[in-house]
Amino acid sequence: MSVRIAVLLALAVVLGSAANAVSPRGLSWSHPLGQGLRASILEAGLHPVDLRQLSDLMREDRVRLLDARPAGEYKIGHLAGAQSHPWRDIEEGKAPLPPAAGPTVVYCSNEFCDDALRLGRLLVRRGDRDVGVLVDGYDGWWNRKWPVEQD
Amino acid sequence: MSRIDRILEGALGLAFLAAGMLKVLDPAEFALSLAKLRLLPAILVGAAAILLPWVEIVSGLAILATRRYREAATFLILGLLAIFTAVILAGMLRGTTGACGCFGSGIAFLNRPEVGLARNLVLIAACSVLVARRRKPTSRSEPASTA
Repeated sequence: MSVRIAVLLALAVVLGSAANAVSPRGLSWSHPLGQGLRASILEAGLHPVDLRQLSDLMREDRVRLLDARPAGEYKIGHLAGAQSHPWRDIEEGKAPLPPAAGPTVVYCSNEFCDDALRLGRLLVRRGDRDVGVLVDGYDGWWNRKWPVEQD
Repeated sequence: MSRIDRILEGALGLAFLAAGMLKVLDPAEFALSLAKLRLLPAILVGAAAILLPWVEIVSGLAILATRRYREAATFLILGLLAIFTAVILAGMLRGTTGACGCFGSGIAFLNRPEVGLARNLVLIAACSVLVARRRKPTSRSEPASTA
């Protein structure tokens, strides 16, 4: 019986590998999600959050917002209700990790910064479960002319 | 082989064939579903997304269309169902409410975790019935040997 199960599994491996190699939709074995920020977010155990999703979450008051940018940028403008927790300060030991809480979304400037991703990784490593990263960042929010706050 | 056996095998085979084919049609979406579950290390997501649908297809075909591999396919399907059910339960316990990706990306209702859990329990029951019936001794027993 176990030999026959092994035969079926081997056949599946051969067929799957061959189909993946010739299919235009074939995946990379090492980076099946691609190479972009979304893939990095998912690989880090976080989940990508879009602007509209975040807007809905904020309207329902169901999310804690963490701004991972430097404090100076936070003072110039930040999303309503966001707390400033610059990733660089945390990494250099100048500031503690924000306390664990419920659903959390972290953001930095835009899709090309990685402060939010890095802060999110630290939170997940600590054991926080529901941590998202705003893919378009503060700039995406600002570009839509959605309301922001200043300190 | 009774009619009940053939019906159960047909249901299991078609379910696994359909599930595998739908995943093969959109492998990137299935990889995303696996990544969102956060149960596999990132390095294994690619291999699982590429190979798992074909394990489903091969086992579905084997139980439908072969005699020699039918029983092995039943055990393979039972093992897969046990793993899938554990994954769905783990997701529900962890508060992950997203789609399970069990039937690719096209049929949202079938991918709801509670629907997936109910469906898997029914299929596990079908597998168990098949295994039990195959193991049951035949009704015409051998005459007892006399000393």
